[in-house]
Amino acid sequence: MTNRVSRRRFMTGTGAAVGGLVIAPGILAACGGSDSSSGGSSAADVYFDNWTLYIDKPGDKLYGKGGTLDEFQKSSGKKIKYVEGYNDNNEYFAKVQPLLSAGKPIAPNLIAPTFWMAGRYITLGWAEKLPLSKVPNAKNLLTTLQKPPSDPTGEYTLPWQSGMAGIAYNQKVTGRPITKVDDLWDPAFKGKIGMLTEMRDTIGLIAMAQGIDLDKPTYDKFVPAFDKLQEEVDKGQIRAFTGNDYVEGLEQGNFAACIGWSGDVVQLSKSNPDIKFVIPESGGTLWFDTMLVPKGAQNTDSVAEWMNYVYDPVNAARITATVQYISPVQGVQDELKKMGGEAAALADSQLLFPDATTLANLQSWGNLDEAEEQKFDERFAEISGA
Amino acid sequence: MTTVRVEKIRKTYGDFVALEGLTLDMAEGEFVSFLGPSGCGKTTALRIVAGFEFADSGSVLIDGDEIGPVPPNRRNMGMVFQNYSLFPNMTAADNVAFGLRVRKQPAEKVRRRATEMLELVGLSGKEGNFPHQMSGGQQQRVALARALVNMPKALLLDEPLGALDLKLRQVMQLELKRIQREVGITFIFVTHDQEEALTMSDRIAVMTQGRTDQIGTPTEIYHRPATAFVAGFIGTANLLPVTVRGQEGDQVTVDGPGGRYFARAEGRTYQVGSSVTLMVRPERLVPSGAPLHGAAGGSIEATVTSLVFQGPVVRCQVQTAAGVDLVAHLGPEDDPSSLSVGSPVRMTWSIDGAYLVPEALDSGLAGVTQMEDDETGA
Amino acid sequence: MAADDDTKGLRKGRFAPYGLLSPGVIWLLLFFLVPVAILFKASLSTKPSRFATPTFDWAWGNYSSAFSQYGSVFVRSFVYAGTATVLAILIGYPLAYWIATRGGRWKNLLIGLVVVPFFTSYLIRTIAWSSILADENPLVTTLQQVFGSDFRILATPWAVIGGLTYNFMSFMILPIYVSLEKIDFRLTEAAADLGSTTWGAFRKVVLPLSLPGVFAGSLLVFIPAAGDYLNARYLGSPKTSMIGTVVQNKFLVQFDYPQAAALSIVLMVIITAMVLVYSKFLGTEGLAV
Repeated sequence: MTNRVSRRRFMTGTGAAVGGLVIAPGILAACGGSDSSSGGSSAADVYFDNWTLYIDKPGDKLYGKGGTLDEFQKSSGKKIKYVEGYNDNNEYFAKVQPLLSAGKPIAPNLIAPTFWMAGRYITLGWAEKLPLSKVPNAKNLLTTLQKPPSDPTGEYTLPWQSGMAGIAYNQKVTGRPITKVDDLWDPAFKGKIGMLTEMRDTIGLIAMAQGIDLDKPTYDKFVPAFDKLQEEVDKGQIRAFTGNDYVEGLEQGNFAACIGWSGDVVQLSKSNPDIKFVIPESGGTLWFDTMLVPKGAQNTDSVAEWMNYVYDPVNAARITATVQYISPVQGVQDELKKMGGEAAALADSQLLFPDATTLANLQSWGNLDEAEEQKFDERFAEISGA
Repeated sequence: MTTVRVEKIRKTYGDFVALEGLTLDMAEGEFVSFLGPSGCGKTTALRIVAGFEFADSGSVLIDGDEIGPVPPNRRNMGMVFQNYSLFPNMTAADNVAFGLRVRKQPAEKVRRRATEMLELVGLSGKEGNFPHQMSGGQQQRVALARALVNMPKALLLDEPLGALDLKLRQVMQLELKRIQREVGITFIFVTHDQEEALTMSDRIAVMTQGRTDQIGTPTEIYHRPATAFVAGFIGTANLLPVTVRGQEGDQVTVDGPGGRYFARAEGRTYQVGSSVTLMVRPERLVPSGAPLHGAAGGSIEATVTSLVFQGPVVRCQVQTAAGVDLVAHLGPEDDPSSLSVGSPVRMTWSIDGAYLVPEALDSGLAGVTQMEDDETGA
Repeated sequence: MAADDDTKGLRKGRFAPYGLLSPGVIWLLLFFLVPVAILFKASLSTKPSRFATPTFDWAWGNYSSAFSQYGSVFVRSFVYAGTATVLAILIGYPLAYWIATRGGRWKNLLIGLVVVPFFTSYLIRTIAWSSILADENPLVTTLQQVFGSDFRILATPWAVIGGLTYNFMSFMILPIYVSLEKIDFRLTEAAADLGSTTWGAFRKVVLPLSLPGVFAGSLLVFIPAAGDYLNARYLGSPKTSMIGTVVQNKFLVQFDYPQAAALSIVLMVIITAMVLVYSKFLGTEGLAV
C-alpha cells in the first residue's frame, strides 16, 4: 500500500514533464491543433477523461474482472471509454481552450477539473448543465459539497472525489508537535519549510491563520497573506515550493514541516510513524475534483446514467476502497463497514470520513473571478520565483 | 662532427622479435637507408633512434653519448613521418616554426628561419597555406622543412615518398639529395623500395625479420650480396643452389643442377662439399654465341618460355631441364631476334658475371627472384 | 498545366537542386520560422482579459517589462548555465580524452556508458539527485559535521548548477570525443620530435584540433541549460529560479502569452548573440581539418 502512487503524486511528475516542452516556440502553433485524445468518441456513449489512478482497476479483488467500468457497462448496456489523460488543470485547460473558445466540442463528454478550474469553465460558459433529473442518486451528495461556490447553483458539476490540505511534519526533525500555521515560521526550522505550488492550498492556509475567510476571496483581502509568504521566502525560512514531491522532502529530512495533502501523508505515516498530518488550529482547506460536461458534448443522458451509477453508495464505496479519498457520496461509510476487512478499517478514518468537528475546521475556496485570479497567480508566481 | 651509432639493438613485442642485434655507425652527412620488406624492423629501428620506442637492450649513441633513456623531445632528431603528420591547425610557416617556438626563439628569428627553410624546400610564397590546401608533394616539403628547422643531429625519414606517385617520387628523390648536400647532416631513410635505396643512399642496411643481413654501399650490396635474401631483394637475380667442389686461388669450382660452374672466391675460402648459392644477374646471362666478356663461368640447357620487349632490353625467360626459371636481359648485341618461344637455348655467363653467395639456398627458391615486377611495375 | 511545367523544369535541371532542398526548407519554414513569427507577433500583443485572444498592437511594453521585471532572473539563468558549461568542459574533456586515447577496445562500451543515463527520463534523473543530496543522506550529514548543521546542498545555487552540469554532460562529452577521435595522435609524436613536451603538444596541437568539439559541446550544454527549469524546480529554492520557470508559469498557469512570448524571444536573441560572439572568439574558421 505504501508504494501506491497517489493521484496527485503522479500528476506533479507528468505535469512537469509535459511543461518541459512548452518552452519551445512551436507550442503556440501546436495549441491550435485538436485535442490529442480525440477520435473514436462516436463509438462510446460516455467518454470520461479523468486523472490517473482515480478508479479501481480491472482485476481488482473487490470487483473482480473488469471493475466498476465493466460492471457499469453490463448493467446499463452503455459503452464507456475511460481515459487517464487529465494530468494537470492548467495544462488541460491550455489544450482544450482553442476548441471550446471557438464554440466547438472536444472529444470527451465528461472531464474532471478541480473545483476552481470547474468554476472557470462554468464562468466562461464552457460547461453544459447536467440532466440532474436523470441522476436520482445525486440526492446522496454530501450536504457540505452541495452548491459549492465554484458552482453556486449546483447545476453544472457533481464532485468525483474530495480531500484536505493541512500541515504535514516530520516529528523526528521538528522535535515537537506542530499545531498551527505560525509554528512553520519558527526560526528553528529556517530553510526547512515547504510550500505547495498549488496556490489555493498554500495561500489558503496562511490566510486562514490570519483570520481571512476563503469564501469570497479578493486580492486586496489576501494581500497580508501574500506579504507574509513573501517575508518568509525572503528570510530563507521557506526552502522550496513543491508539488507532490514534498512527500520525499519530508521523508528525507529536507522539510521539517510543510503544507501537504491528507491522503499522501496517511499512506506515508504507515511506514514512517514520525510523519504526521494535522489540520491547523486556524483551519485547513477542502478541495474536490468534479465531473463536468464540456460545452457541446453529446450523449449527456448516458453521462447522467454513469453519474447515477457512481453515486449509488454501493458502487461509490468500492471506488473509495481503492482510491482512498473522501467520497462525496453519503452512505459509503456504511457500505465499507459491510464489506469488512481492510475496507471496514477505512470506515473509521477521520481523513476519509471527517466528523462534524473536523469539517467545521475546513474551508473551501470561493470563486475567484478572472481578474482577481490573475492577480493571485501573478503575485504567487513572483513570490515562488516563477 | 656528429655521429650516430646504434649498438646491438634488440626489441621485442611479446614473443615477436622486431629487431635483433642491429649495429651501425653513421657519419655526419651520410645518407643511410634501412631497406627491407614490411615487418623487417626498419621502422622500429628508426623509432628507437627518434626515441618513440625504447630498445630492450643495446644502445643509441650520439657523438659517443648514450641517449637511450632521453625522451624524444630532448634528442634533437628531426623526423619526417610517412603520413607527414603536419599540424592541420597551422599554416606551412607555423608548422615549420613550431620547433623554433618550442625553443623560445625570438619572433624575428622564427619568421626569418621559417621563410628560409620553406625557400630551401622550394615553397616560397606558400607560407600562409594550410596543409589541406597543399598537394602531397608540397606537404612532403613542409614536413622536411619542419624537421630540418632545428638543425637536428640526424634527419629520420620514415618511407617519406611512399604516398607520392612515381613521377613526383623521382623528383623528390633528387630534391632530398640536393637538400642533404646543402644542410650536410646525417639522413636515415627507411624504405621498402630497393631502387629508391640504391639511388639515394651512401650506405644501405638490408633488413629482414629483425635481422640485418648486410650493411654496405649500393654497389657492394648489388654485386656482392651477403645472403640469398639480399641477392634477391636488391634487383633481380638468378639463384642456383650449388655445392663447392674445389678452390684454386681465386677460382672456385662448384656443381649445380645443370653442370659444373666457376666463380671468383672474392677473398673467401670455401670448404669442399659445402652448399652455397650461385647468383647470375639477368644482364650477365646470355645465349651461347653472344659475346661473353671474359672467361666462361658456366652454361645451362633451357627452353625459352617468354620474350618480352622492354625497350632497351628484351626480357627473356627460360626454363631449365630441372624446371628452374631463369631470366636474362638481352641487349641488341645478344641478338635476341634469333630466339623464339619454345626453342631450346643454352644460356651462358662469364666467370665475372657470376657471384657466390656464401649461404645455402633452399632448393625451392632456386631460379629467378620475383622482384622483377616490383622493379618495373611499382 | 502546372504538372507539365514542373516536369519541364525538372528536365532542364534548373529547379532540381531547389526541389531537393524543399523538404529541409519546408521543415524549417513550418517548424521554426512560422512558430517564431507567431511567437514574435504574440510578444507584441496585449490581452484585454485573461482568456481573451491576444490582439496585436505593437505592445513593446512586454519587452521592457521582460528586462525590468525579469532582468535578474535572466542574469541568474546565464550565470548558472555558463558555470554549468565550464564545469561540463572541465569534467567532460578529460573523460572524453581518456576514452579517446586510452579506451582501446573498450571505447564503444565506455561511450555507451556515457549515453546510458539518457535511457532514463530527464525528470527522473533530476528527482533521483534530489534524493541523493537530501539533508539526511549520509553524504550531507557527514559534510554537516565539517561545515556545521546548517550545511545543505539542495536548495542552493550549486545544487542547480550541479544538476545542469550532470544532466547535459553527455552533450559535452560526445562532441569532444568525436573531435578527439578524429585527431591523428601521431601528431603528438611529431611535436615531441620537434622538442615539445607532452603538455606543449597537447596545448598547441591536440587542444586546438579538438576545439570544434568543445565549441559544439558548449552550445549543446549552454543553450538548453539557459532555458531549463526542471533543475531549478527540483534542486533549487525560490531564490534560484531560472527564466524557464518564469516562461513555463506565464504560459501554463497565468495564460500570459504575450509576456511569455516576449521572454522567450529575449532569451532566444540573447543566446544567439552569445553564440555569435563565442564563435567569433573561438575562431572556428581556422579549425577546418
